[in-house]
Amino acid sequence: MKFTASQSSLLAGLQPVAGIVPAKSPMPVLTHLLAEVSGNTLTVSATDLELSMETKVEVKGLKDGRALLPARKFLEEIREFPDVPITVEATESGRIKLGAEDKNYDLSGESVQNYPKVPSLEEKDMLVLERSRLRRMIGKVLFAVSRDELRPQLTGVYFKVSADEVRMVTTDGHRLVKIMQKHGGYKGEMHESIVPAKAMSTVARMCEREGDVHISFTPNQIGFRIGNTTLITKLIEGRYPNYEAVIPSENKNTLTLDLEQFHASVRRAAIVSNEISRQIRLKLRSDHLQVTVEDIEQGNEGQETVPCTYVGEPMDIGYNAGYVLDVLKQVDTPEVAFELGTPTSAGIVKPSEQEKDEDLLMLIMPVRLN
Amino acid sequence: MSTSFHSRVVGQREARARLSDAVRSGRVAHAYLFSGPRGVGKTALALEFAALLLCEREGAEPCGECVNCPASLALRHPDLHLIYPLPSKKAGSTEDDEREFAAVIATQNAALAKDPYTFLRPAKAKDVRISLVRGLIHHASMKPYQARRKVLIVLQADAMNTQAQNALLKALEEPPSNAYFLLTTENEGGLLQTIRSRCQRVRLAPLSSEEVADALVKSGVAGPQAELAAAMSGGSLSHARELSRDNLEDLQRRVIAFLRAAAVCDPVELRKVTATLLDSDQMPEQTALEFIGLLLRDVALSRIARNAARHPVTFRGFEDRIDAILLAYPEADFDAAARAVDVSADYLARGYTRDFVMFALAIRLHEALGPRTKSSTKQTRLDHA
Repeated sequence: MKFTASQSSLLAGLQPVAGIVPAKSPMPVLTHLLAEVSGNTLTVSATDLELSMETKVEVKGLKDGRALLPARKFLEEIREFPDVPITVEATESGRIKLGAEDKNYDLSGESVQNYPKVPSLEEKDMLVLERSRLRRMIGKVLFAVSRDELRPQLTGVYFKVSADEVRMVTTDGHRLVKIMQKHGGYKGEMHESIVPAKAMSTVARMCEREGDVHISFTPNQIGFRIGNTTLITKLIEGRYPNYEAVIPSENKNTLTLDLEQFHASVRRAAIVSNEISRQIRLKLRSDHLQVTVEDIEQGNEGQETVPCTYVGEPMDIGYNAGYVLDVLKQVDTPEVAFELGTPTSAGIVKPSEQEKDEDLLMLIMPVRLN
Repeated sequence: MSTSFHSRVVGQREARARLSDAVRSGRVAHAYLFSGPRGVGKTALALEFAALLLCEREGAEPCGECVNCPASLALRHPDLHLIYPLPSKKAGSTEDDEREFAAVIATQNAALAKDPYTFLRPAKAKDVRISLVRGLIHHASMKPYQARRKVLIVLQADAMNTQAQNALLKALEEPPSNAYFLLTTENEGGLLQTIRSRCQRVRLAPLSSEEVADALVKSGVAGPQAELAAAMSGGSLSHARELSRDNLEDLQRRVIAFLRAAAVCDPVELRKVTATLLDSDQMPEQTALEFIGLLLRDVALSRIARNAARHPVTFRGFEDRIDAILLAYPEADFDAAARAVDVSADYLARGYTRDFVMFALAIRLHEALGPRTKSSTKQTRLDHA
């Protein structure tokens, strides 16, 4: 394998892929990048056996072939080169030579046979989404992902695609987010997956620029193609819990308030709330809402009144302030709408108006007032 | 069967047949516990079974040729996860265990892949760390990378502390789909009853001397040495390998010298022979005790077989010395002597000073052997031994 490429294009191409290469691994071969030259295309891929990434870089191909590059040393070396064309060559004996002008370095490589097979994208029946839409969806759901490894399914994002919509759901048992988005067209079969949260946040980061994302589904993997780069992740085993069953359908009490005002009130109340329970109390009356907070341990308390529109039975309901703030952060309309049942049942939170082609619903469990 | 796969498991036909039947009939349990003494092939069998579970062809043995076999046999398959005891972390280290010990794990795995009978704990390793158990469970809860299944192996599973065992128990209670746990242990009692009851037990018996000798010869040990080492190994291949590296006759001589000194209970002599006995890298205290036990067994057998054809099992070629001991100590209580050896092994395991333990053993052996006959000729013979 041999090619020449400019320092800047090589660096730009390799850096994202090198990001998933572990610095140390019980399988030393995984600390390498797999490079393959075919014609004038250099394909660089890497895997940590959970997340795999592949990117293509235009180079001047001199000899086709495959080789393993020691990721850290190689990248650090490239970074220190001036922006000139660099020639990279893998020798028969498995060494990696890189050089430009009068600078020549010779790094030890690893046998390419030992590298695990990097999964490739299933090209058929791909879902196409605008990057900004995908990024928005991921941004809305990640906060409610559970960190409890004992229930691995909840540590991921439920991702479902069907004929007319794509849906993501996350929950940690205290709150739940469900977001649906209409898509332009998807001809494949209905697919459900549970995608690790880490992979989702990596995808969101990669969706910063404009363009489309192509998403492909297999039973064990989900793949995202963003420009020249492909990211494939293993899925979480098992079935996602029946989240529809916990979404109440008959919450008759509706509360609408100004988002900014309410958000500010909850932030103030949260500061003096009990550090462990973070409990705040909402006293719902027909024309106003009173936010009260009391921390007996520290001897702190406070209350304030927020104007609102409330239709329903007067009631007192308790929440974890942190959870309320998390949910409010996801609302980007001027007003936020709550649909409440009883002081002990799940409440629905929605933006007062949905974005076009989107449906966002959040659920928050109250805490028992003492 | 395929040409490229050669099983490295010695003996254990029954267990191997049972495991391949399970795969063939599609009735693989979610967890197996391989138990048995050291060196009988628990790890070798578990690793081969793992390769079989990951093999594409699902035959009676791993095919050795599909996309999965070479990688799983080399212990670098993405769906094969293996943990075992590791040393304690350096104080203040923030790295996770897998990273901190990446180099140790890589070396261990490579050695293990090369020869599954030579597995030793990494230096100073005590526990199977809970963080590694959690990592293993995480891998179990993910979909497989390329095979149909995921295989999760815990070697020396009894070295998990209670917390780690409880973490594993949760996964065994509700095993994620396509996840198969294989545990090995020399000490079933070191595992929670609740873990044991959730595993299919695969008990491995000591190998026969023939099987051990055969395996030794195949690995290049000369015939007579192999037979001797096999006879002394107690059915443990790894033990036999260690023995076959030594000058066994010399070791046997040293053991006899110790017994002789113990019999007369001469402190000066005892001090000298104990030092000689233990003065060898290949002769850890526990092994020395095993040898003493084996010698006593030979002597005891020899007494039972009086006048019949006598063939010491272990100390072949030392018949005259064994006779000498028998004649010198006609009232010897070999049961008591064997118990004395066991007690000493127990003391050593609990960390008592080895010289002290050996001295105490000598006194016990002296008592067990009983009074010495007065006959001067017999006495001379023993002294010459």
